[in-house]
Amino acid sequence: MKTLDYNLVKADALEYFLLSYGWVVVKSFKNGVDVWKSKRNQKKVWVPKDCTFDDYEEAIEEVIDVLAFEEQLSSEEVVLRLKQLYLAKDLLQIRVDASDIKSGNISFNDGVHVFNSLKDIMLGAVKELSGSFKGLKSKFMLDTDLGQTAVGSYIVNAYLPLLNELDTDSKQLQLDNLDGETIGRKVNKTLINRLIKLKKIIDHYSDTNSNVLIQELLTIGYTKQECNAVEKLFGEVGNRDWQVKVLWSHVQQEPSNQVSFVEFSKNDAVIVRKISEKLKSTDVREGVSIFARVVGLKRDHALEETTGTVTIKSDIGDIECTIKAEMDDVCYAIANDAHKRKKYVKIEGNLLKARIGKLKRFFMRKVTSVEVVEGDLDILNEDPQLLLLVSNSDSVEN
Amino acid sequence: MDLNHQMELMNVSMTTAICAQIGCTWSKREQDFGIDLQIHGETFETDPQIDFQLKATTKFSIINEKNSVIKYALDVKNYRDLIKTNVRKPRLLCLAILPKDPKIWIKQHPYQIELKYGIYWVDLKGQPSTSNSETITISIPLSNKLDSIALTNLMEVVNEKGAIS
Repeated sequence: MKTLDYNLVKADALEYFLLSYGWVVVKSFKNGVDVWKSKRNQKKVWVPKDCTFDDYEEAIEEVIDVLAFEEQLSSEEVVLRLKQLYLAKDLLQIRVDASDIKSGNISFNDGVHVFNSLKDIMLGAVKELSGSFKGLKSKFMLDTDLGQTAVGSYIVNAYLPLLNELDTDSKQLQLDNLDGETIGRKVNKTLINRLIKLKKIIDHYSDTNSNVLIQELLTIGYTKQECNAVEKLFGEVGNRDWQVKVLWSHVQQEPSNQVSFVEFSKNDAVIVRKISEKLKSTDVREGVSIFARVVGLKRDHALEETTGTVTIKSDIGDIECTIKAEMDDVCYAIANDAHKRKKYVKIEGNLLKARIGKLKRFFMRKVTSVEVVEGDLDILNEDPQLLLLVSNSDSVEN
Repeated sequence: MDLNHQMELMNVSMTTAICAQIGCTWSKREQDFGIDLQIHGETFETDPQIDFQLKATTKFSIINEKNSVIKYALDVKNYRDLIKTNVRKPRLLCLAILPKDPKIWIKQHPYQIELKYGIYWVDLKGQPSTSNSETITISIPLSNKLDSIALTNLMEVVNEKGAIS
């Protein structure tokens, strides 16, 4: 149990932990000790109400042993969850299973792949929100802790921060200052949602609709790097099943209707490899402005937050580009107005160029602002970043 | 196996035999918290537990004062663990006093097994601290023999009050 910092497991946290498993106090002694009973087999454990007891450490050990036995968990799992409690973080677990994985061992190469893949998947989620929260990437990655690797399959545990302020040096959140959904929780939800979306796309994938589905992936901000990261989790020969699970920290209300678990089977590996092969490259330019004409509008009410996809055409240098831009209701309304009045728009966001097989496509994910350009357009798209991005492509197919 | 180890095993055997007699279970801690044996009264409401520090000796003296006591030199480290007041569960010393010759520790008679000499308990909680560096001599009343009646009584008290004293 050496990975547990006993000093941080306070008595109220221990009490909360037992309550969360449905345990109840059956007797309280005058000396400040409560007797807790499990709901399952009526096993009991004596827990002090404050951590000044000389045998407090022993009490934690007993809680871990008894809880593991009663709830049919491994001691490592109980320790992980206790640790989650005092770290006040969501816990993300990636588990990779295959017949060639031996108990207690993880080969160096496999370990590197799993850790790197997790990092790239996390970065994907962070990037989706980094436009809205400055400094998110460095703070989120800095505050993420890795847990121990459990015996059995490969399990990578990452404690993901909940972060409600990005400009503080404090690593540990206080338990009482989390009102509403924190930035970190948004990232953690985004992370699992992106994987769920990927799984849906894999399930619907066929050779005839591959381009459409890959474009769908790109509109949620997937990059070549993230696809490769996911592919590596299936192992070098693609024979591994893997699962990602998020255990939401109790310090913040569990997101309602939020799926917390996604499972990929080794049969998905072939499709992910196909996607990865087809998606030759992705290139992103952050925070660019483009002057363009609105040529198409489509709204999606099925998602949690209504979004719209607006197709714009823009002359960048001497090349005409078609860009699919995803935007919120307000931006969508402005784009719609410009379309009706046949006006140009100035649109800002991160521009992604993707090469899908022989095609090249442009996407603008999370548009940050849209303005209608009144009067004639006398400004050209001369942003060097944009010109560089487009000139790298031989030609643009619309 | 040296004699000390043999003596410790005798204490464990005698104590756990009494547990078996009254339906208590026992466990040994993997970590060293200064406790050798935990006895659980699972048939009681609160599953009371008593932690025992087990000691065994062939070197002891029985003093007949007002009440007869066994005098025993206990290691200071063990003493300090046992006098602690701020602990969740009672911690008792259980001392086995044994003949010098292991051959006579156990004797089997027809329909009877005889164990010599016996095991005795004492609660040192709250006793004054000591400046001794090696051992401290403690007194255990001869009336504190650990048998099925004594262990049942101890469990009942702990179940009711959470403590013995």
